[in-house]
Amino acid sequence: MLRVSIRATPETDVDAETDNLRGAAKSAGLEPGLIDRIVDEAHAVVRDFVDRGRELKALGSHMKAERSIRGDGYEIRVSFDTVRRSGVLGRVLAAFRR
Amino acid sequence: MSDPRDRNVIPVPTAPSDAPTSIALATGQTVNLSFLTEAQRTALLADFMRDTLDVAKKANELHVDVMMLRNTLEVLANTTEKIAQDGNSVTITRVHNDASGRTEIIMGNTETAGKGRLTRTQTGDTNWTPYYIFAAIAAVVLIALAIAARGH
Repeated sequence: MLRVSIRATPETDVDAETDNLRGAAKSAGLEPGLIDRIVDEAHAVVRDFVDRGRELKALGSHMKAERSIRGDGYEIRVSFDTVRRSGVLGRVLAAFRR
Repeated sequence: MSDPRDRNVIPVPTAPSDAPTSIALATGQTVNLSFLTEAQRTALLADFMRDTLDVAKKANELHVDVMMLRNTLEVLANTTEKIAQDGNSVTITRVHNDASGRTEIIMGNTETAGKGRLTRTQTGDTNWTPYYIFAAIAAVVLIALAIAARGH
């Protein structure tokens, strides 16, 4: 079972994320045809999110979007946020760095 | 487990009415089926064709989903941009389920959009909180009645 979570921001390198996903899918033992199909869809989704998010951010607006791509043997969650959010641990570490 | 998409069948007929004795795969390989009976070859080819059609259908669905998401993002982003440029506040949310998954989008120039959290109503999920509150009140009333009944 392939479970991947892609967290994108306006600064995300879409091609690098796609390459990572392809590598993970290969490691999970998915069939080549299926890998192509889900990587193509995930790439299109990340690309669309990042492009639209960049446009909106440039105009001072926000965008947050999530897309789950599910099928037999895979579940890919693509999330996009114009703001990079850190978890509780990240915030604590950031406070210590100040 | 082989990939059905690699099985794009190109039958190599031997005679007009016979089932092919070999099939050429999309990978360039040719599979010899001559050791099978004609009935077995026919059944095998029917399976191949079914798989091929299933894969084509799935690929078409994915393509439609991707195009729909792209168009939705375009419409929502253009609307958000236009309203924001007019100096107004805007928060747009959209939740959509389709054949290959679920999409949640929130856009705008407001604090709500900045937080990026959809409410249960916006996500379309059932909000169970009122039911829990009602159940808790009912439980308290029943306990109170039971205590009161014992007191008498």
